[in-house]
Amino acid sequence: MSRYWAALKYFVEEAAIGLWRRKGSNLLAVTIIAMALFVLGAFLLAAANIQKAVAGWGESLEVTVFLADDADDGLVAELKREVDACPLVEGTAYVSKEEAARRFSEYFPGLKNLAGDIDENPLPASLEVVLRKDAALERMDELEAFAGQWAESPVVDELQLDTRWLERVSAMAGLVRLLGILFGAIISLAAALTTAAVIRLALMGKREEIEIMRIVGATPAFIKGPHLFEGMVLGLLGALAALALLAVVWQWFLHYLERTSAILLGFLAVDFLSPGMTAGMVLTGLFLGLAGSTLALTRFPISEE
Amino acid sequence: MIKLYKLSKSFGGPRMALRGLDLQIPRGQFVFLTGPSGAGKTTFLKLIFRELLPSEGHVIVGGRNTAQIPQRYMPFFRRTIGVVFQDVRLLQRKTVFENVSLVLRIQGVPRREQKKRAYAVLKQLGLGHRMIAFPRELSGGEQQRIAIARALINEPKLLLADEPTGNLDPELSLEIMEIFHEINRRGTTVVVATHDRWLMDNFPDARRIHLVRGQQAEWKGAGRAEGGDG
Repeated sequence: MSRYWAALKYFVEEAAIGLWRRKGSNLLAVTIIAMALFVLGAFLLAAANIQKAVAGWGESLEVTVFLADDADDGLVAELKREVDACPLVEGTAYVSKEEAARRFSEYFPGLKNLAGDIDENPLPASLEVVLRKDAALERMDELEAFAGQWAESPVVDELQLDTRWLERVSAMAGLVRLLGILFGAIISLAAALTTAAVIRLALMGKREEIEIMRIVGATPAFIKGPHLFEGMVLGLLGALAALALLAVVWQWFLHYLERTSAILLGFLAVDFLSPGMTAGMVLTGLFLGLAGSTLALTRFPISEE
Repeated sequence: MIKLYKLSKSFGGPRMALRGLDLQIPRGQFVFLTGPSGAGKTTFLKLIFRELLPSEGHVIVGGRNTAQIPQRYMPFFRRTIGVVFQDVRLLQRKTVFENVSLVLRIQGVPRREQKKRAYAVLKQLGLGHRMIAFPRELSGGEQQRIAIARALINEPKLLLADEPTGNLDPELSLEIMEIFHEINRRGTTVVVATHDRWLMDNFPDARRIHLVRGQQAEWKGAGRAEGGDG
């Protein structure tokens, strides 16, 4: 065990020396990795927040069933029972014409005299249907089928249900995520290649040192170890830089939203990357660095013949 | 210790670096490998520590055919051989201690043990006080002694030296050769490639293997002529 520990200590020490000695080229590699992960993170952040907003809107979605003025009370009660029995429905509330008028006056106080100008209350009675949380997004087709049945009732004047826009926004979130992964993958490839070039450059500079190590009996793993470690550290630093930059840009974005559209901010209730996503970005950084250094070490003459 | 059977080495050109060498170097022998530049001395040494593979024939070192040593065991084979080069090949960015202890470090020897053994071998070579110096701060002779210390720290059974005094003045060269001679007296087989006749004349008991154009030739100088195997 102590042999492995000693080897690990050697890798860390040599990697630290290498990182410090080649500050310029290492900074370049860290910058490119950070850029790649920043792009990836920004897209994922946008996608996650759009998805979260869509889920929130879906959860608070209601169906409003407007009733005909001459609707029979018995038929209305029957429709309410039918709607309540639907597995997608959490509950229903009956809103009378009078209640609708009262709400109108409350919501639009500037227009409350308008009701007095008209002889008859023009607002219809309605059934407000509160849906279960999974109904709008995951069981949309089912919901539309039920709504179609309710609309057939002779007491229904109009039924208000438009969930398709939610489906479109949700699809947009998926597209944003896909674009993020696509752009991220392309820039990540560039980052891995840059890391490979930086490590390769270091290897070229250490050709004689590697030759000496081979002659005195160092195993290929012992020679490669510090360089693999160096690549991983570059990836880790790149990931941390990307997260720091994302956090700064995110704070600026929140501040901007607060100043320009505070209502929108409250409505969106945006979040930064989840711990899982943050860990994923760190792991991606480590992987990019490791992939770059592995690429650099491949075909470099560390083992003879 | 070393057995060569019909050993030839070619690098692809019309001329062969070594041609049909048949010889043995028994354990504990002190050997001068001599000959003019281009005679094949370096190729000979490289074949022994398997930096090169023979084109024809066999190289047996310590009972093992070097061509049949699997790649993964090569580092362990190399650790049994100490090698000293004319151009010293020290790691310029490492201290004397780090250079000398490198062989132990790659084997996972604890640092305390590394220090103890590095100090012991450096002291033996008169450099115990230069542990924390960098190679550039040392003279040519001191650097060569550091390279020798690195080759000796793992107590190899075989020590190979390729023109180890090529860049040194006669006095220092003699001093270095005395060190090799002393190492040999303690039981290590030593093979020194050199074309310095004066130096060899100072060690008349040493065996000479004389190479000319890749072939073993008759030695016409002073000292013990090549013929038998010791």
